Amino acid sequence: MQNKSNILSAGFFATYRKNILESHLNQFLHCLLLVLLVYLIKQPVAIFWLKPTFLLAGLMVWLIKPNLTSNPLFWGVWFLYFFITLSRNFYLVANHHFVVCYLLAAVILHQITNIKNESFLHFHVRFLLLAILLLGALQKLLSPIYVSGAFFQLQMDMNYFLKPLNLIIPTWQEITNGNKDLYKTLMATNPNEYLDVQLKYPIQNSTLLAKSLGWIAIIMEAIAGVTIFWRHQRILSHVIFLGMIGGIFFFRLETGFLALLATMGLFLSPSKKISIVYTIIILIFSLLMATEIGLR
Amino acid sequence: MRGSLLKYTLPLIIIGVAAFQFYQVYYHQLSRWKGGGFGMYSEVHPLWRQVWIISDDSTFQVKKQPKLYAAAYRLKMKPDYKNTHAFAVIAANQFHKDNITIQVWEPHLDITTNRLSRKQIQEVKYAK
Repeated sequence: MQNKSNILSAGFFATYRKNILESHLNQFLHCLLLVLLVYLIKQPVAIFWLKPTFLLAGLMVWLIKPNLTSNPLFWGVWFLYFFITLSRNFYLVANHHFVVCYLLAAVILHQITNIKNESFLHFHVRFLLLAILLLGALQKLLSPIYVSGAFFQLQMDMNYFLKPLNLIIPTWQEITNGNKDLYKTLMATNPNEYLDVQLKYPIQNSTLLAKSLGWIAIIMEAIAGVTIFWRHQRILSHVIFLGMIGGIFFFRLETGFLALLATMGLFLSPSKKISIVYTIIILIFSLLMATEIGLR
Repeated sequence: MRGSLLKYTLPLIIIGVAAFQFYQVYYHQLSRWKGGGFGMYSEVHPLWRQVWIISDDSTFQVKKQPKLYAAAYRLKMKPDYKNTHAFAVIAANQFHKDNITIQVWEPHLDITTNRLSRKQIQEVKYAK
């Protein structure tokens, strides 16, 4: 009896593993599930019973039907959780909360309509990436503080951007720590006194660097969005997209958002090698998110 | 027909939410970071904003005061007149004041000199 159940469970896991390795859609859905799980666990929610209830419901649906590629009820449970938390805090949640809802809606739509044909899901994932990246670029273009370079400069002055430069430029840390102290002193005063403080530049030609990097970010986002939408089957589009993910990671450890972008990239990946790169990135970013080294 | 409807419904929702976010940004002072318009890192994060309460006998910043903190958090995300007025009512009741002024400020960097100051983005004077 014991042997029989062992054989059955071994068979179940072998089939499960085989399905993941062989199906591109399966890989995407499992990576999405991993990112969602970490995000859900790390996200603070005011209603204490919400998380355990939905986790339990999701687990039960999965146990009844473990196949993630044709299980709209399972994804519906996840969608409902994220939709409830989104609608309760529409103006408070991060943008990737919206991305999660859109992505889950696309997955559910795909599974309840035509399971074999992935073209709708493909189109929705590509459109979502296009919207995220083009809207990101447009918002920056329309923001006076961004276009002037002041936003980028302030983030550099305060050591929020380009943190890896701490390791290369010895005075970076010292100057930015001094700026942080000045910031705290200013913020503690009554703003009606209209005081100001002189911040130090972390490096020479800091303003030029801030302005240049700001414009490079806009151009990179726009190019990555357009190429991944229209030329998703080309390796070059994914190289640009991965370069953009790496660039954002270098600026700020936005691991939660980047893990979601990489998950969508994985689904659109045209080659096994690129898929492996995406999978490694997703695993690393999920780990950074789980350990709170990276941002949720 | 059914295929087109299914294909374009989600993109239309995404565009609709983003358009609504743009409207909120330009007419209700919603932070670009919030509301599903993907404007993160296009301006200073709203949590860098400060909410100050001014009454006849005191001026202080809202930090960790119970009841006010959550309301101030929401106000920082969308400091339009309606939200600021609603916050003023809460603060006036909390501190038993008849007249109260609420100000919202955000950091402002002069890019040419690298001097940091603050800019007032909202002020509401409330009297019971």
